[in-house]
Amino acid sequence: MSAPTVLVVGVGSAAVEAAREIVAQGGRAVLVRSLGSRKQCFLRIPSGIEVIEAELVGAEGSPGSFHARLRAPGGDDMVVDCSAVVLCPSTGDRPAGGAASLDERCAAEAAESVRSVAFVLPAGSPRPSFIRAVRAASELRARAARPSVAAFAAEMTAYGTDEVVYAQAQADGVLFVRTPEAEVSLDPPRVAARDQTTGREIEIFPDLLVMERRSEHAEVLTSGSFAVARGSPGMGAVATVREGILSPGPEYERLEAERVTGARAAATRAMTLAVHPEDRASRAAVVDRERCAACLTCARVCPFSAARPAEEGKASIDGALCQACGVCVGACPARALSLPSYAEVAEHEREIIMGDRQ
Amino acid sequence: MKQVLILGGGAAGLAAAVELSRRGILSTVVDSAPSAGGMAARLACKGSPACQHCDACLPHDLRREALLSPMVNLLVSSELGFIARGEHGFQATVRRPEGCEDYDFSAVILAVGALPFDPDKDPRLHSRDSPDIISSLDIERSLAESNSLAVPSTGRVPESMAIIQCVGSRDSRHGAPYCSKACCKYGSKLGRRLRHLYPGLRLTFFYMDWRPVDAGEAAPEDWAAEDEMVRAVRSRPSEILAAGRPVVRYATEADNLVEESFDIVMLSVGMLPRPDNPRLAEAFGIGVDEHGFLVSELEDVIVAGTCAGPRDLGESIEEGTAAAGRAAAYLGARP
Repeated sequence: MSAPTVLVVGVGSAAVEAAREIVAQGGRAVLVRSLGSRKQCFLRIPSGIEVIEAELVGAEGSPGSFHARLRAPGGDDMVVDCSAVVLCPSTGDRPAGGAASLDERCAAEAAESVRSVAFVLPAGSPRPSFIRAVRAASELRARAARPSVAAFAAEMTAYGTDEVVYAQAQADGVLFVRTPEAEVSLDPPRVAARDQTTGREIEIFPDLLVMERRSEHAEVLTSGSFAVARGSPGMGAVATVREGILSPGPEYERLEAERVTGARAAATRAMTLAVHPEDRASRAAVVDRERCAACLTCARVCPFSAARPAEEGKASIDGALCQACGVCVGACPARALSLPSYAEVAEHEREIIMGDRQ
Repeated sequence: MKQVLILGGGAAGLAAAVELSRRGILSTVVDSAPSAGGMAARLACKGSPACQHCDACLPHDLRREALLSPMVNLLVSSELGFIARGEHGFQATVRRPEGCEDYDFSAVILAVGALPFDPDKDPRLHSRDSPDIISSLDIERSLAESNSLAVPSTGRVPESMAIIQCVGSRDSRHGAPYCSKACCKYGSKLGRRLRHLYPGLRLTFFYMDWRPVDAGEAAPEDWAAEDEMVRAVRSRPSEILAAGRPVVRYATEADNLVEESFDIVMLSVGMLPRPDNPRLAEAFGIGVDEHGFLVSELEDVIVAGTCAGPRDLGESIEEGTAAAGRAAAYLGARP
């Protein structure tokens, strides 16, 4: 059996990581990306990953057999058959649009003559931006010239063990100012704010000003013109509302470690679906034809149109459509419908509670 | 048949077992508790009334699938007795109530979780001196079991409550210096659930910084703006006094010292690495980081969940899923 094809859509590091993981798990990864006006991408693509410079415009089908429509820069459309799609929206797909978010490389690329630096992170800055600013600030402070560094942030989002890095930067003399809205002007660069914690007014004239842009959280994940809504929690990890289309969420919302985890989880789920498409039929609701009164209440209430009249007008459940949600089971006046997997679990749990077996 | 050892049957461990089972790969999950689900199984749904994305239901779904799958060998009330690396993987002995069982494993996923901070360890909290100064986990359990919360000392419906964030976290003297990452999310959602269950409840949310795991989360100020019964106070209380009703002593932004009493004071406790992590790391040939969390660079020993560091349930489950993928890749590469 040849390796299943998984399409990975995105220009950021999460997309590359997902593609790499798919290859590592024995799949064929096709990285679809639309660089648009960016023209260049600094990310190194590991060997074994095919790259198509195009935009995903549609994906019809179901897990195991998707037909993905891609539009190349020249305007030509092509179709790629794949088993699953991993969507990795990145910075360029932010609802606010446009330029990259605060990059740690700004510290390395700052001129040697810089003596005073200000980082400004307004309310609505992406979650990972603060710790990136902290790391850049620490790098600048480590220079022989010891430039003075101030970070103006609405929220100090140093998650988990990053808190220790933040504490070290404070001890190292980086000035942290908590303010929802710093006043920023140019010519000359000036940043002023009132620190909410201490009440102090702070004003500085930095040689280097690094600013973050706001990001809005969106329930719909987009990559170019392709859009799909996030899945609800019950749909599983990295799920979207469309089965077989996985997403670790927008890259700019996730911390570095979360991006890697999310990308790998999405790649894993995609490969599982590609190699072992779920056997829906075994989970589907079952009709007891002796009890069924052919009232078709189930057909009326089923949210997925899985219940239909069949022989003698009695209900029949389409295994491929049934989501085992249980609405028909509850609605059936004759108690003719049941979900076999639920009955099994109930029995199993009863045995555990009664101590019959572990 | 090749199989994977999963130490720990909490959210991450179950996620790994379920993902492996969907690929047709056998796993044995070993957990010392009498039932699977770990810390996560004791959490309550925080619908207020709409789904709050608190993740509490996810481990139950995973547990159900694991119980049903013939590819998951779920061993509860069990412990790893012995582990040794052989030529083709690991040889292990699992101690069960009815005796010991020997296994051969090709790869291992460590998902042993973390421990909640015990408020009794910080004398400033006086949690030992008042039944009404309680940990967030006790409140979770009360809601999960009975969908209600009574003031412990009186049995009455609570009318005022303080939620104290960062208990045992960001604290180098008692607890841990790092941030436990999940508590802003779970503490605020628990507050919303309580507001929904008790419309007459006045809540005061004491916090240091707002660190949402989900980017779209409303900040405490916004929550307070939309709910007049909620106050958001950005201050870390210096002490909780147990003088009849619990009293929270804190400084305001204007540097005034305030003392306020509440029916209940909820302590949002952080998570600490298990004290036996170093021993476990040594047994498997991996390491621990400066805080005591597990770190592995080995291909066949994969770490997932809160034993690797502070995480919320969503991230733990993603990590367990990813760990299954890595284990599957490792197994697939070896005939």
